[in-house]
Amino acid sequence: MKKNGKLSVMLRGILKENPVFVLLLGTCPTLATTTSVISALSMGLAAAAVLICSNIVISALRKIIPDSVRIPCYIVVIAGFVTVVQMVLHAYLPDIYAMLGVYLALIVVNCIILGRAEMFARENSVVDSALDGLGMGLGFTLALVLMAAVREVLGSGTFAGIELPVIKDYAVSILTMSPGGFFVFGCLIALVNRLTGGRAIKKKSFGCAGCPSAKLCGKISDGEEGAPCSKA
Amino acid sequence: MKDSIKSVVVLTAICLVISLGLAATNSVTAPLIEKASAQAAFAACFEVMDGATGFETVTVEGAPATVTEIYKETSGLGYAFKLTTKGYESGLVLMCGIGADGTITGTKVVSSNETPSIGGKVEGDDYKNQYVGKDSALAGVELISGATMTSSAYKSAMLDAFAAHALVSGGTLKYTDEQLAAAALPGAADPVKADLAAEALPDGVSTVFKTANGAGLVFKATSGDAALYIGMNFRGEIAGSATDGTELAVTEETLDTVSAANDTDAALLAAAKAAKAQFGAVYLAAAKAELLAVSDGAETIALAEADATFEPVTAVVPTKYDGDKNITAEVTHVFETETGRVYAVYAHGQYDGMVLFCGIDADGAITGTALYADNETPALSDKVHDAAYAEKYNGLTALDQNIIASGATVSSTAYSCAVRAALAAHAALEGGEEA
Repeated sequence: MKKNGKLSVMLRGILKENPVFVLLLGTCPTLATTTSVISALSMGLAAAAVLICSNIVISALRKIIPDSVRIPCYIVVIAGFVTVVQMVLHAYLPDIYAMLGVYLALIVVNCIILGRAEMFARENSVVDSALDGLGMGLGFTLALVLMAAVREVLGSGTFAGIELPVIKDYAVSILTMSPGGFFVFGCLIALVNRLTGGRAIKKKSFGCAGCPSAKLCGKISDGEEGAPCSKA
Repeated sequence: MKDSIKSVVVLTAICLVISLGLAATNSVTAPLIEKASAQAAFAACFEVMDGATGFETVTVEGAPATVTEIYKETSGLGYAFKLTTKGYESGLVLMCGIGADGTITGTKVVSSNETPSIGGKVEGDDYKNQYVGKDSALAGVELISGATMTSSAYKSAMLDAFAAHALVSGGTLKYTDEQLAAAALPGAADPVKADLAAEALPDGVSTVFKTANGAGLVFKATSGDAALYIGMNFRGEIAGSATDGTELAVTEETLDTVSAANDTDAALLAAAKAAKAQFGAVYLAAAKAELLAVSDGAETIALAEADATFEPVTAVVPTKYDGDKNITAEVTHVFETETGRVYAVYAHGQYDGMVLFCGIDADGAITGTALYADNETPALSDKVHDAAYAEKYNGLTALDQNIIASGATVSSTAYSCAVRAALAAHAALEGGEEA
């Protein structure tokens, strides 16, 4: 049972709670680096490395870090790891470093990493956090590579730089630009929604009092608490 | 209290540990990054010199500050120079190859922080290829309009490469005339030799340079091998100096008090004094065509004898973003023609250095006005350079209200103030003569 638990922690990040297509986190690097498969793969792996390392450290320190300064502490840890990844890539893989450009530094503010630190790492054990980081990182990488495959093959007729003979002549170049990127993104979200039966994330229920549209919605009149909102 | 102490301690401790980790990683990766970037730089060397087989770094004393590396091509094809300068942003790194015959074999931008669509244009083939085959005079190289700062930084970096080339191929550091003229006059852009007759030049002055932005005139005084470049603004004041082969320096304040160390310096100093005394005459010679253009079809023009100083005209223009702009305009020189007079006025509009010529005939009516030089924002100064705008002043004998060009309030107010200064000067001179 325990093993299943650990495995499910990891697998969750790949489909059911995929950070890109279900949780909708890290959209900026998703759209920016998915014009080519190589750059998507590099970005995914770099972010995954940072995610695993920061999850481990934050989970290890979770009892020591006081609640009031937890965000600065998390950011320092995450930024430290991102800088290490930057320096290592610059020294050993300068081509990839040049390809990722500013988005490498932007991993610091990637919502997936801070989000997982907040939601998971600070309440779970080091092993669980590492597995969660691994799962989310893998999910992120797979999502990026999938999107890049679509955009690169259909948009520029190449795959990982290798030219594809027939498709190249019919390439829809708008897919390599922003509007195409959003379109592919939307299609993939819809696809994942279908595959998970639309039940990936438990819908939260909350009372009408907390809802910003309380006044516009016709469900309650003044003073009523109202039933849990089904519009969530 | 305990809680906040704990917060501070934990956060500080985490920061320290992370910093140590980063320092450790850096000590491992920094040398590798350094090496890779040096490799990339050598790659640029090959790109600027066709047929090169290898490069080695050489060092030489006294190269210009912008030259950061000098590479000698191993089979004797020439040298490549790595230059670091500042265009719009700092960090403009360029590579220039100079062949054995002293002409440029190629230029390239190694890295830059310029805005891609503006300063980045210098990376385009059109601009780079202009330099190929040119010698140190860089004749015919055109700056990119709209990207002046970047392209003129590029050009002066190339001149520095030539200076370093002279040094490293066994000669002495030789700056060109134009480089020294630019150094003598702060703010000068692209000085070029003015085409003046030898009689027009003061004794001891061999050349006069005009600048593209009207910062002033530069006088080159020579004595033997030494040269003194005196930069003067259009008020006739010395703005700076530069030297070649001597240590003499002159400023507006020290011109009369500085002592000459030897005969050469004495000759140069005398030439500087002559330049200042005869500035008006040289101004006339340099700007003759423009001065005649605002007078009523006159053909001859001479510096007026009048030694009067005139009251400056001032105004205050409130602006939307820059606060109040204080405009001043004063007549600096008066020239006489057979039909009347032309007044040269020096004004401060948006920026200092607006030079306006105003022609007034014997009846006291304006015959023409024109801007000779200015440092205003180009798009705005176009509005007051416009002939249709200038025409509004023609025929007026007095100016009660400023004539504003919409969108260029400050510049056109300065223009009007300058005209008013000319009218006032004219009235003063006429009044004096009658009396």
